[in-house]
Amino acid sequence: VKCDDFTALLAGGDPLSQSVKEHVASCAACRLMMESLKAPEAELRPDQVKRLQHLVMSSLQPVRPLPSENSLMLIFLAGFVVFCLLATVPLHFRAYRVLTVYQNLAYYGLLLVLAAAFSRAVVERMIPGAMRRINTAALVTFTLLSLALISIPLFVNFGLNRFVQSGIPCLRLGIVCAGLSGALASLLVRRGFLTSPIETGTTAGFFAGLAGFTVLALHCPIKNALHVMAWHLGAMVASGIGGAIAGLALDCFGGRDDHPSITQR
Amino acid sequence: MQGYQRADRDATAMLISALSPAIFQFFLGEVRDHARAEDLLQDFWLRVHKARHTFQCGKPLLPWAYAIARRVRVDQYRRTRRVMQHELQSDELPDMASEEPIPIEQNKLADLLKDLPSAQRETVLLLKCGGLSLQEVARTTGVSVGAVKQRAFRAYEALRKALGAAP
Repeated sequence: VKCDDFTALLAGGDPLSQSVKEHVASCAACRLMMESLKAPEAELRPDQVKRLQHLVMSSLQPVRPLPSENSLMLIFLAGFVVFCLLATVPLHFRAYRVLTVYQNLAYYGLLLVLAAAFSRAVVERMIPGAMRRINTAALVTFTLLSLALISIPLFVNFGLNRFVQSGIPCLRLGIVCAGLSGALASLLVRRGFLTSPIETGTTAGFFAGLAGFTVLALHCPIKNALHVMAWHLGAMVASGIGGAIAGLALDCFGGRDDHPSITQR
Repeated sequence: MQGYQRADRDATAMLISALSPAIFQFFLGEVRDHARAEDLLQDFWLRVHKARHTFQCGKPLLPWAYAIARRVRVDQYRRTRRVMQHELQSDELPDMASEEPIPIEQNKLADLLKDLPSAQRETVLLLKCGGLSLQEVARTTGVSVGAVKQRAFRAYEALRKALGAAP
């Protein structure tokens, strides 16, 4: 056993074997390391604990815990589906007619899977200490790439005729829908405790952007891959950036001193 | 914790007594100042009080509590930075506050950790002061268990070097 093996065992959180214990006993450097890492005695004064108890007890009221992570995920997913359908009703469902049944299944199925993944990711960021199974950067990259790639076989037209004129209304509609869904989602997100507001804002922003994209996917009948990639996905990216900026603002200014009792001793 | 959510006074008092020393040690390891660590602990309980509904029955308590503690520390850092930006430079040093800070030597681990990168310092504090497992540290910090192991390994290597260089 070498000193490095001892360090690796410490970092791995594994129990020390007999041979490692013997090494620590015989090695001055490892012994010193072991002793240095002992947690110091708690020095909190008993009157401080009493004061904290008094502080908390003074406004103690029963609270209703948040629903479970799975329930919250389903709430977000159901909200996503209902919002997309309701938002498309006044605009008319025109897009599904230009695709075959299988193409529709693949396209809208992918959007539903992505929405479920974003729901999960947002919920994981609302609850402190929740296990994070989904990485925001990986999810956003996968979403943008998969939606761009699926557009190529689905929308075979690559012409640039009236590219900007037809694209601006779609971008505007996508951003408006994303903004509305983002505002609705924030009502639920605010019920949680955000330990990393920028990450949460970015995730929620792209989730809202996905709602905007889905409304366009249900409404816009333009069968042009470049149009979808530039304007529909553009609305989603804009929403993600907006979410990140909102998260940044919350991160910088959300922790302002709003507890006057902190300084009272 | 469920008692706290139901507004059970005894359960709440017990929770505060049980959790406060460990959280205080975590803050003390970070800021190395007794008075500031006490302020942070108070801020922590005010945040916990507001966010107590986010704790879910059956889930581990420590990652939830330390995740909030990390956020309190970040906000405190920002607040300090904002205050420092608005402070006026003065040629004369003001008198020291009446409360004496705890000498650094009394907190050996915090003294050793002060030169480590923030993420590594936090990992060692959570593992050693908080007594959290690798999985719990991963939940608290929002990274993978592998990343926690890597941070801990690097921190221990740096500590070994620092101990070797110490007289």
